[in-house]
Amino acid sequence: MRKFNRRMMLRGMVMGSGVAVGLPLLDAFFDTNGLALADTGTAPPSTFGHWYQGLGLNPGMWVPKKAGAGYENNIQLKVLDPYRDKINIFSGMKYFLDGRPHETHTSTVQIATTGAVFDSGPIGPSLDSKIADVIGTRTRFRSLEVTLDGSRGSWSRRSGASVNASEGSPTALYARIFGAEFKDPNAADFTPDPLVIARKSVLSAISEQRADLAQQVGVADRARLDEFFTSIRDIETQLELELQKPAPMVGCKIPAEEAESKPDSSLENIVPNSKIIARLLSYAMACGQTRVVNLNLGAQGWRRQGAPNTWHTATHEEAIDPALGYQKIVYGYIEQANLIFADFIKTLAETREGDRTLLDRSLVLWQTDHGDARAHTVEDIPIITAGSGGGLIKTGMHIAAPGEPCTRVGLTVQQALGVPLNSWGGRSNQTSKTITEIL
Amino acid sequence: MIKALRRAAFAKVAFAAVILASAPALPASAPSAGEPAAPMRRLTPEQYANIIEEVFGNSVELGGRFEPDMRVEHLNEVGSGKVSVSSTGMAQYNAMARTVAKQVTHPANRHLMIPCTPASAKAADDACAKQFLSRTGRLLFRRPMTEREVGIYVRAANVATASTGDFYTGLSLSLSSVLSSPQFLFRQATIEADPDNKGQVRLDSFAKATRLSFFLWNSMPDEELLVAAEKGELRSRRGLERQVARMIASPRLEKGVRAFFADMFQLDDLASLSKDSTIYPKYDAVVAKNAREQTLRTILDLVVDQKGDYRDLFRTRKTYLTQALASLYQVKLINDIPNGSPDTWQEFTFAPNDPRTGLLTHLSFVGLHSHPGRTSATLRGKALREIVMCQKVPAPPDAVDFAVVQDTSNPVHRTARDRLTAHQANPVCAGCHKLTDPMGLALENFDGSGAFRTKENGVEIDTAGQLDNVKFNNAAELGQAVYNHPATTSCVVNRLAAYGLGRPVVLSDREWIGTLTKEFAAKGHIVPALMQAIATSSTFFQAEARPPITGEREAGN
Amino acid sequence: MVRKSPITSVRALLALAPLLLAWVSTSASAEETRHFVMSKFWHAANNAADDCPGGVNPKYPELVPINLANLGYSAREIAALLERDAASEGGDWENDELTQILFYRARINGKPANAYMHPLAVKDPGLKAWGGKMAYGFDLDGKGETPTSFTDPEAGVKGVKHELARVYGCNDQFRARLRDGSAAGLFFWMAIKDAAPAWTISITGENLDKGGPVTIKISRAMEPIRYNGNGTARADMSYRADPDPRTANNVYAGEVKDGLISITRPGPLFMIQEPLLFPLFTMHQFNARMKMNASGVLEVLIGGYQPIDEIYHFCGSANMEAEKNFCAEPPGIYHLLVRHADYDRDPATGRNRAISSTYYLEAVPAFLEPTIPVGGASAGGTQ
Repeated sequence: MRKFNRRMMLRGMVMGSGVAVGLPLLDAFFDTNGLALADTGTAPPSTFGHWYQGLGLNPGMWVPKKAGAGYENNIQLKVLDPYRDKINIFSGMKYFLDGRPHETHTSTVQIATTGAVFDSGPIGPSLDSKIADVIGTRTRFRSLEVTLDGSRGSWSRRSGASVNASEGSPTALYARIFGAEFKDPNAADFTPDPLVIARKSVLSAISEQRADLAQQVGVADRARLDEFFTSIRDIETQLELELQKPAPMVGCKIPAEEAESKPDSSLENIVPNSKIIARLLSYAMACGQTRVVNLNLGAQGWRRQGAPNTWHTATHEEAIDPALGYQKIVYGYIEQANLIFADFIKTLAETREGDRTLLDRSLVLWQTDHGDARAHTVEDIPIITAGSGGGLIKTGMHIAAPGEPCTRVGLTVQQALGVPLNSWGGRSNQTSKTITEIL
Repeated sequence: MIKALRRAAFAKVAFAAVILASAPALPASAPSAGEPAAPMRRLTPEQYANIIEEVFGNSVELGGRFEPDMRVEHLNEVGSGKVSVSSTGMAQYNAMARTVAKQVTHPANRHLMIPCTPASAKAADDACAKQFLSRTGRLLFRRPMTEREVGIYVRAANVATASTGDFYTGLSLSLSSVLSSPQFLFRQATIEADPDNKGQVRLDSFAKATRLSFFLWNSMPDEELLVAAEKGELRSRRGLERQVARMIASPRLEKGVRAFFADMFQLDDLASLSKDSTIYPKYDAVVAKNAREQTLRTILDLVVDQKGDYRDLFRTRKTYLTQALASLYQVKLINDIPNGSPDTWQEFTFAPNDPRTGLLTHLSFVGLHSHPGRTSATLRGKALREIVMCQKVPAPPDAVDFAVVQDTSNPVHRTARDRLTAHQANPVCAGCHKLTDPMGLALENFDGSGAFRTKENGVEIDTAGQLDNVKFNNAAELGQAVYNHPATTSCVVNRLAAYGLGRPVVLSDREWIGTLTKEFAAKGHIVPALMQAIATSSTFFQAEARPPITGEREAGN
Repeated sequence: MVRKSPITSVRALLALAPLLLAWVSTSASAEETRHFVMSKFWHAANNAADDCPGGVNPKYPELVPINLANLGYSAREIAALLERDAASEGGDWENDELTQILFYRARINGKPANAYMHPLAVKDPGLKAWGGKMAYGFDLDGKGETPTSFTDPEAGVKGVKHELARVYGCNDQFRARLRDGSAAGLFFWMAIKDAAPAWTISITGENLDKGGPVTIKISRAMEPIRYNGNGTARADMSYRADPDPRTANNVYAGEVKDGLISITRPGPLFMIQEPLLFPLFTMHQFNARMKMNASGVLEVLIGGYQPIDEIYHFCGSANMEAEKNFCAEPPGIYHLLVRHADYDRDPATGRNRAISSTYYLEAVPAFLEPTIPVGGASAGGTQ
């Protein structure tokens, strides 16, 4: 087989054929302000949430029987029924370890959040960071990270070395968002982004040539050019909207401060705190303070007060109930976590913004580490999305993609939110295949 | 009403089945006068990536997704002459353009990419912008930019610099507009007056160079080809032949051959091919990716490296496999590298008594043309007719009952042959299935994921079949029958011609195609030679009569 | 079709489902060898509901006060300790009062010592053993039925010696039905399977179709086993045989009879596994019995007398993590192992050093390429 000369390919022609371009430029393009699409001035902008809930779901109890639109939730996700039309369930996908040691509960989260296991090469930014770099550059907080168990744990990172630490206390979170530095979005002066002005000006260079080009082609091609220039015009229109003062954030309210329960890993405190956190994050987004939130359940240490086990230990120790066919205590924790997730979605859905809700413009990605926590399986991983991000993806679908890399969902979500990216992930987790069914 | 008409048309075709064995039906007319012979073509994702790599180097990330290709007359390359750019697609192209431009003007790279330094990094410098934009524009437009074009983009850089206060941001944004322009995203067949034939037009030299390089290399012209176009060398037969010979001998030919066969054999469809993982646990995304590459490597080896006979693709035992593919094919393939390393590609020759011979036994054929949970002799036969032999098989009529065919657990009809025979008891179905099934059934030893089997539901599989009048007993003999069939070679000629022209072959091309086919046979069915013949023929550069336009571009010839 | 399908022979041999077996025929004689790679591995359990009268052994939180009491703490001191622990922020390991006490709860010459390194220096917490009658395995000592022997629930073999089943059987982490694997078993297997060089089983015989004598070799591949997208083991993958001379003698005479492949002449086994679980896996009187199931997977029982220190390794080395999560109470387990060890008496202490044990394995057909040691320096095994 003939080999292509790599050296040849390293050279760029722009400076003649002798110049080699060596540097990987990964970091060069993450400070772009993304697609015009995500930034229309007419509708409030898309927001993104990443929900990390470790320890999986119960095998056999969450996959909807039917694939495609109009699925029915299996027992463990029935709690999401009220929002089913706005939710997608992905089943059958897997994390690829590629012969590397399986660091249980860790290797797989690395894949879920960065697309690759950390052991080789530079650690990429997590997907929420890449999304924040596109949609979060003009807000007060590029992103907000929160845990529900009071810890500072976080999977959000800009690179291997810089982790975006979480806030574990609702009181501290309140102070951070609604304290003295709170910027009322509706009172604020509006300064048009000079970069957007410049982007719009250079697009007119293309439109200017429309007549010249039309002259050079035949009738059939002229129609195609017309379509092309209409598409250019659409971008110009979107940029124009971005240059106007955005519509007021009608859903913005400064909430009253609520007393937190002790921020720790006991379920008795997690449940009330999670409700406060859901409300605070919703208002933070409704008030334009951030467009990206990360929720880390810190599920490993969850426990009921007085119970001999944590959720995590229960996955290892609890015997499978022979009558039920699953671990009863573990099931209870999952049920509780799913309730909290459903409650979060409900809070988004109840945050009204005129005739729409915050959920309508949100896209929440729910991910986990294992298919079956008891056995640390890396197959049949549940993934959920809630909300369409303001019409960026279709919802109400169950996508069954057995054996496919989970990274396909991450890639799809990032692309939908405008991250300039045509493939994502490392080794076998690398994919350039989006979930076309929801695009 | 429409349904009834469709049925009538279908019945006619079914009864006229014998026609199908002859030459493919051609559209009656060439494009009407006054229209260019070939439409402008949108760059395919691969072409876009190839160009960016060649102009700016291979460490530049594209970052973005492309609008999907559209297959027309069996080829994406023909479809590229039909598509435009949608609003969402444009947003993506523009984002990619900004991503690329940002990297090109990045502080770490600008000394490599930009031939000048501005007087101030905070203010416009038209001279420097012009130097960079005209130089880059020549590559991206595949011709020198006109003075007007250069002026427009220099002004764009100037205005953008003014509003952002940064020369490189302005330059980057201007470059992003060049990369978002139709002149870059579409390959135009620009024409000029033909001084040798008064009142006629011809492709200009740059359009010729572009057509050559995309056909042979699936990318932009290299510097030498651009210079040859600038010097007018492509106008002379000798100059053209010299360039084509050089291009055929170049290692870049591999990219061109890959692109054509991936298109012809529809290998990109593997990317979206799913299988039921309970029935076919070995099939996954990695295997699918490998299957595409297996077939392309097999083709490149035989067609380019060995300068072999195209027809041998249908009976060669030599191929290239990864460990994952080898397990699906149930053969031993040792990976002699440390643990945990990715699979490696290795040359592999199936044993003489192994049933795997030729492309038709690759996963990229038997798996691609199967259902998610079962084989399909009909789909395989149809693919063989349409993709390999360029013959048309009608679509099934409405409201057909496929229950028997689909029920793989049918207690009576336990093999695909039994089920299809039962289905053909319906006379409406029988006509078409005769066109497809007898060939497809010879491949029944390969299950829906391409793995070998000898039995279905416990019953020994009978792989006897027939292609037109030739009978055979197994896949190897089917491969031989395809090797012998005249449609096999005329088909690749037709497809390659359509691929090169970016439009379907029409009736008026018949003489040209006939000559090419004869020459192809005479030279031993060598594909690069066929490419060379097409690339040096006048039809390939045909520019349909259209009155020369006044106020032609200033630059170029 | 030209290629002779091996299906017929496999079916005759194993009376099983239609699938292709990877096989390699050796040219020297009419012998053929079929290779398999191990796709699952855990101890052979046969637990049922309520088979531990009075309930299973206590778990970590319940063991804490027991262990503290064994150290001489009074009820009031224990209550105070637990209260302080609950109120503490967790802190780091070195500064955590309760962790330090429990971690160093062994006593050597009256001084605190690492409990997991010195399990016998910890007062036996008295974990109870399993009293079942049916357990998988082999009549290892050939003595037939004895008061402590089991009957194999599937093969019906009597006189089965599997004392490890007693050690593990009343701890939830180890309780399971054979093919499900216990929580501990699954934990370890899942943690090592993607990176540990796969074990191989090679069966050679003149007529594997009809039955008769065979030789069975247990060894390792250089590569870990590969899996399909849906998590099942990938059949027909190619592996390189690890030329490590230490495993070269794991060759046993056996036979094929009525679809069952078994070792007829047990002998010593020397295998290397994975430091997380068994750095070394050795057995005296190694025995095996295997049969292919309807999905084309070889189901294997292996048994023998296994050194208790090799068994204890994974609980002991994971120390407190093991204790809290997947190993019951390691010192307590070690006491049980000592109590139930039934082979290889140490003349110095009078204690047995090995225990009869049975493991369950699954394996799938594979290709195995012999390799030669590179430069003679091969004892390290993999590259």
